[in-house]
Amino acid sequence: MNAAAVALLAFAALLLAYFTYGRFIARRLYRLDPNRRTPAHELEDGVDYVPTRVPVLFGHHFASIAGLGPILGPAIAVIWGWLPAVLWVVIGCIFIGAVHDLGALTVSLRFKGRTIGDVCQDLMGPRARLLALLIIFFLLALAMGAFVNAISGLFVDFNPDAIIPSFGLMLVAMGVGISVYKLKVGLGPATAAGLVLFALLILCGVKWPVPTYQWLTSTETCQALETARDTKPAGDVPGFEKPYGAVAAMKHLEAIGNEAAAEDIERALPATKKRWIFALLAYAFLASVLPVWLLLQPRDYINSFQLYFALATLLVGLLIASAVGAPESQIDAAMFRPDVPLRPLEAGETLASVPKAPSWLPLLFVTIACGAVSGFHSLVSSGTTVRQLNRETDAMLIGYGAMLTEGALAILVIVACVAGLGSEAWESGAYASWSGIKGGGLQAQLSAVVHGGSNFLAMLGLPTKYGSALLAVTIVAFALTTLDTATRLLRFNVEAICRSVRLDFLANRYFGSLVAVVAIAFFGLVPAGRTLWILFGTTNQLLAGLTLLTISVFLYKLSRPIRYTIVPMVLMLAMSVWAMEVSLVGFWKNPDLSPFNKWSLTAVTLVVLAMSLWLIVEGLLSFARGRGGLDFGEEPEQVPAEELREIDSADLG
Amino acid sequence: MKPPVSVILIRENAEQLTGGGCCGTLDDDDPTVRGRGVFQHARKQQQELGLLHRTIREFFPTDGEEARVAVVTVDPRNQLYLIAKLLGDVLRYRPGLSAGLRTALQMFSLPAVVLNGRVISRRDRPLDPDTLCHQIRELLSERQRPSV
Repeated sequence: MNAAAVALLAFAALLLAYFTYGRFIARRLYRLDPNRRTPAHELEDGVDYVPTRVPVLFGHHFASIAGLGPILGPAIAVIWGWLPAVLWVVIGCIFIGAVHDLGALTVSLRFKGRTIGDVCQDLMGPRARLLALLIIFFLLALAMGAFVNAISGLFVDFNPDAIIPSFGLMLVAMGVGISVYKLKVGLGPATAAGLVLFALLILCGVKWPVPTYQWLTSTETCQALETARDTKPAGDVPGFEKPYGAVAAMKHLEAIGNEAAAEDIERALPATKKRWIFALLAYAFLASVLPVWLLLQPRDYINSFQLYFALATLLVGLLIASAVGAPESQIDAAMFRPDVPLRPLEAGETLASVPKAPSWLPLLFVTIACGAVSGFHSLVSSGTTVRQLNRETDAMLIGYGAMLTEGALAILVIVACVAGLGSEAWESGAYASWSGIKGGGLQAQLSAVVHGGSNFLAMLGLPTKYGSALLAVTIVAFALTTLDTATRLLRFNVEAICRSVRLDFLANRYFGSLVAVVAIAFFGLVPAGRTLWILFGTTNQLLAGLTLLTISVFLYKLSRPIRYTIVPMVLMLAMSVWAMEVSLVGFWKNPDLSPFNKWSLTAVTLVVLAMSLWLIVEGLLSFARGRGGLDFGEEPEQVPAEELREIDSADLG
Repeated sequence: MKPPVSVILIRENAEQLTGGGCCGTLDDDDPTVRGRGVFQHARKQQQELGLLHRTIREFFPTDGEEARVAVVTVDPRNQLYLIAKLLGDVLRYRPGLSAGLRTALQMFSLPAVVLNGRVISRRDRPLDPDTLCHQIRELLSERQRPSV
């Protein structure tokens, strides 16, 4: 099967949906009216409320919603075959994710640009707000736990070449921050210098990878690795070349018969990764207390270029691969693989004789969260975006369209994993079994995106070693930005929860930061990478469920049909609860988990399950309160035609 | 029909732009972030340029059918739009080689004001609304002169 054909078909379906189902939802359900005054016009102050043209707002909104989520989730889910992943992304985006994003935008629009959290409290009461805070707490802690787990593994197992550029990028970002905000250097020169330094850092990373696992191995193993360095693959013996990842080292040493050295490395891996996790947590703590202008905001400039560059080059690379008939254009993965072995098959073993990985149903629906539907988008949609909408109907492209574009990003990731990697990944590599390579966690899937994507970049003439480092650093940069943000948000969240339950004496930054870092550390140190991701996906879908419930209550009170939002909500809740049940069974069957981890993960799952039930009760209570109570005027207030034309004309030049 | 006078106000929103996405984003108006002053510097710039925005809207309201002044506020991190907009204005209004290069290469400090493809804000000196209105008025009077 041709990968470009699959991608283009999926894009066509998304585009078609925009003009059909999207329009239907916008016109008939949300009743977007181009003549109704938006908060941007009604409250125009040039500060928060600024009528803005669609192209400006679309770029802004898309950059805000696209993160690591739509990359990691699809990369894990393709293990069940490429077709279910593609179908879920396309169908989920069209019928759930985009409806959710547009709904959040519409509700916020009608409430004069107030955030969905505030509206949720108004429509369903303060308990619903506390529920949202709790869901967000678990969501952030789980996601960050999964990220630190994946990044530490990526640094050690596959991409030691990403270490120098990833940490160097922080210094570059700080330099850009000081130049732009304090020294008032021109924006263009500062950003250009930042990007040039970033490119140089990648060159340095490729030239001087840092295989940190060697720091914890014996002198003999180090000597063996020194001797083996830069060995090219020969016959059945895999090479040991840059970036000198631990997995490559072990494979090479085993193939040449140096079992002792390979075992020594395997023993050193957990401790090395643990040290990286602590280093990342220390970074998160420090970054979250630094002023945002110094690191977080300047990194935005570099991150946005990375995002668009990676998207564009992956797409063009795929199209070129297809045009020239390169092997990377053909999908090597199975279309549908319901039975995935839990561990790699030993010699003589068959699929029937080994334990199976958890079933794709329901896990697919929570594994791919952000690429198909993401609860967090409601927070972005109801913030800046809604206060800048020039016309109500612009919400369709911004809310519905941007989510479909994120779906397209997820499709590119799927294609990179199922075609860009080559068949070896499915026979003996990252996707051969649920436990991945050498029992590797999420890093195996991140590495799959990196290596699959770098093969597409090679179509543009960029050598794979540089493409691989570039993509790895891009992913790590996004993860580190998220880590910084999430630690800060967790701190605020803990303070808000403490105030909600009247424990004001605990609502201070030190307690908040401590709880934030401990929560991330707890999840990051649990040796259950994929399960962690599934719990994150479940919680994210719960937040989406809460938003869909808010939208449904809003529609119900206006006596409009609610089936288009309530059915997705029920589906998301059902899949989330089912996935939690599967996860619980998984914890108890996992031999790598200690009793403490089993019990604590069970407790977390039960808390998330309790929140799901709470969500259902809140929904029932809200509907029981009956229709009515909302009035947005029968006759929409008209925006003067010339005022709209004035905003339009801003973009004509 | 002559093109309207183009004003681009470039300043950051008080929020994080990239990297958050599905897993949390910092927005000055999020209920948990609100009132903490996380984005104080960006908020100050927003307010400074908000004043310019309101002044333009007040003093140059739309005149009948034709929009005379087109004002757009852009976050500089939204480079996808900003690059195209700045280049478009430079090509359309032709402010001269050095001014055009300065604009196109974004050789201005934040916050910035670009009027008909020319950067008119200065480093460390917030633009005065009167000065901006005066410059816009000059451009409008030039615009009204019949072309030879």
